[in-house]
Amino acid sequence: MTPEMNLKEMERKAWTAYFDDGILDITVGLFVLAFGIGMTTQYATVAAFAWMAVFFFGAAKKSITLPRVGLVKFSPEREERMKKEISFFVIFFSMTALIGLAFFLTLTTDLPQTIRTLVGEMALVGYELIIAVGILLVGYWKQIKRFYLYGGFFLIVIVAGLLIDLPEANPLTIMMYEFTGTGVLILLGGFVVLARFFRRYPRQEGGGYVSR
Amino acid sequence: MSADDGDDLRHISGIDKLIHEPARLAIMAQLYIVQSADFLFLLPQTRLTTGNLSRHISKLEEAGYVRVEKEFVNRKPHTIVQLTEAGRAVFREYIETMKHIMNGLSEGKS
Repeated sequence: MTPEMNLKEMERKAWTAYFDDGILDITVGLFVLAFGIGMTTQYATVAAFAWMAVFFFGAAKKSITLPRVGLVKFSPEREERMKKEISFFVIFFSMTALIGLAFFLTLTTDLPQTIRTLVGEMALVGYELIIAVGILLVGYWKQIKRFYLYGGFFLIVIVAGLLIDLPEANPLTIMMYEFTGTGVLILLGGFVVLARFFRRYPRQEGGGYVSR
Repeated sequence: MSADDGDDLRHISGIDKLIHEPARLAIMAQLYIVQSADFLFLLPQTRLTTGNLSRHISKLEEAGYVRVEKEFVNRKPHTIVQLTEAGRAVFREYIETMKHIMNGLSEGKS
């Protein structure tokens, strides 16, 4: 390995140190789980509020990660990548929020049965795929490999849901299980990573200054 | 000893001893890959103790390789460290020198 490659690897490790806390996993897990719960007509409103998991992310980063990992201003290249990433997630969250709203309206308003069926059965699969691809893209942007596993798992679950023939089952119920299962898996993964993070990065006492 | 051997030795003796020390090298490398980092970030990344990190940062600051800025955040002291232009140039030169020496050593083996 050349020194340049080693430095690149060091930079990537410094970057991923910020996401070794499992908070992003828990946020995404909550987001997916909220959609799972929202698949039931009884709690459909929960899906519309799934995006609020982002507030948990901000608060947890501030109170858990920053006091343990510290602050870094990354290289200009990384900063540029972060700007692109933010733009991507703004578009992605807007898109999912709009689709979520459409889903909510379809379920709660008095539309003809044909439209409800069309939205319920076809658009929702597309929506599931958007979320799965979104999880994979979190892995890409954040350079966290475990998100590829989460996204891959969700894709397998979606395909399995389409292949397994359950004529009696309501498509929404099947999707509820798919979302809930994936959400719980991501949440559990997040808690495991968070526990490891607490061991690896204990709160530093008096680490905030350089003594002379 | 040939004239070439003498050149190689001069190359080795030209290494900046201040940053060749492992702890300071770790600090320099960490700072080289970012624009700036605070003291808290450098602690786990360099695996140094608070006292050691302070001491080595002070030495690098005295040499003009790093710039240390202190501020108060929520009444707590907060220290930000970054490489100076000179520090960045010295570290780049160090990498090139070490690469040159290491390449020479591995060629000598075969």
